Amino acid sequence: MDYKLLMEIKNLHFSFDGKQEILSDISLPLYERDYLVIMGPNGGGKTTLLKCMLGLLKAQSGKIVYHNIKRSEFGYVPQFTTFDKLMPLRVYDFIEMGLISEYHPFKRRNNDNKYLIEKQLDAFSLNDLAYSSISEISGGQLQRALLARALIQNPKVLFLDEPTTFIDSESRGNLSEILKNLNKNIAIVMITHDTSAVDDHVKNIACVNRTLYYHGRDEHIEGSLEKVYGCPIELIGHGLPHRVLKEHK
Amino acid sequence: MNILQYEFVQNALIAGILLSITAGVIGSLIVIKRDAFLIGGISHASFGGLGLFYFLGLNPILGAFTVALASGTVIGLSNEKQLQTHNALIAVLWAFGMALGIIFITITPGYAPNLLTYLFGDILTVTRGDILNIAIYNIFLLIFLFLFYKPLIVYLFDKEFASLHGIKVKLYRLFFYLFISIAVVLMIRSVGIILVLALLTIPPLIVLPLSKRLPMIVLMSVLISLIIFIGGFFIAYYTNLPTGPIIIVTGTVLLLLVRLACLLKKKNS
Repeated sequence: MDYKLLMEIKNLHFSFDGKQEILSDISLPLYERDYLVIMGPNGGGKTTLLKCMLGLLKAQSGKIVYHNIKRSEFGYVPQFTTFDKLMPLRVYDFIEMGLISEYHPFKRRNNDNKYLIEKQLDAFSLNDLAYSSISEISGGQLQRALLARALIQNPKVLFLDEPTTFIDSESRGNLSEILKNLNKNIAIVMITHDTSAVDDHVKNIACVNRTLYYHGRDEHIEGSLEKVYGCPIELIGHGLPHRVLKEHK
Repeated sequence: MNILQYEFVQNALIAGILLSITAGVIGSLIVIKRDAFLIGGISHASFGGLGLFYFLGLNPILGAFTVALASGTVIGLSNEKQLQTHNALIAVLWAFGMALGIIFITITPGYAPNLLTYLFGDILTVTRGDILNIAIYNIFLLIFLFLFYKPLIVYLFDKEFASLHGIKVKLYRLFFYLFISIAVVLMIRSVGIILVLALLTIPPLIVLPLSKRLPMIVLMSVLISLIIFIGGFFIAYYTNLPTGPIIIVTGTVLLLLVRLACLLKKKNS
């Protein structure tokens, strides 16, 4: 890979109670304009790893080195379950939250914000829903609102946690297209347990289940997915002329 | 004779107006954060402090204030997960506070006050000093909201996102629960422990289906709180029934009517 490093995870260990390790000796690079997918079974520590990368959780040992990037340049699309969908909030207000780090109690910038929010509403075809409550829109629409919120400040890296879980297949196609286009300018890190989310645009894959196996794009990854999941798994390459299917033994 | 001529009636009404602001604002935040049970815990635990101070011959409200502030601080400093796992502990605290309060008041020598006064309060005994306290509190609350409303909402909605964007989540959490516990004590003094919960929860529950925007919900909650309070007050006065319970019944009936109307509207559309 001829891109520059954005961040590096070095020998990271993490546990919630100090006894059982959720993550063990993880090392992982992230490059500029990388498209990294972190896969693994439920409970394998994917989300924990993501939260460590975001600086939301502190590891017991090891370190994360940030090169040419600050936390404020992270965009984050969390799982639907991490926030309160029933809160009285319109799509407009929801996207505005993405600007919160610019907020200053004595300097209001309502007009600038309005311009930026409307731009996002346009970009993600949410104009008609701007004044709808976030509790009444569909999963795919909410996903677009989450993207609009995460991208409003032009981040250098976009982190997505299980973005395909609550959306239909059409929205998945749209998401894949959106991510492909974004990846022309920014790095993408996506967590998923859904092997079908790995498409042709993905550049690197990491498989995590307490420990981590890292693969550059050209590497054959079936074997290591098997190790992580503990059984042969199916991997479909979208847009590729072949697909790999193996039987359970 | 016009009842507004009495100073105690004037005081009661002024306190009612000011407390409607407190209740509307704090209540909306509590209801959307789904913390009503927690607040029930704080208010009932503080009854223990009230009893203890009464027994020691000190100002009972100061006792309630101490316990409420202490529990508000503990909650503000602990994290959400810890609170969820110890959910039943809040119920214990709830019962224990009430039990202690009643025991202390019973063993205090001399004239035993009517326990109902503490449970339901007595808005007619509110003094100008109480009114001043509530007014000062409201000013602080409104200034805080004016300056920090947006980050507060991001914190309430999505803590991780807030933390990622540099919002001091722990500080907001502490401030949030301190504001709540002080409000609870101010309200206990004038409307009693039971009415605190009613006034904090009924108005936001009435307006929740009517608006998609939090600022509107807060504003309408203040208004509804005012209607329930003043309405209940006059109904109680003319029927010669206790003010606190009448205010609660008025509010609950209004809640039922509004929800029923919403249901009918949904069915017809």
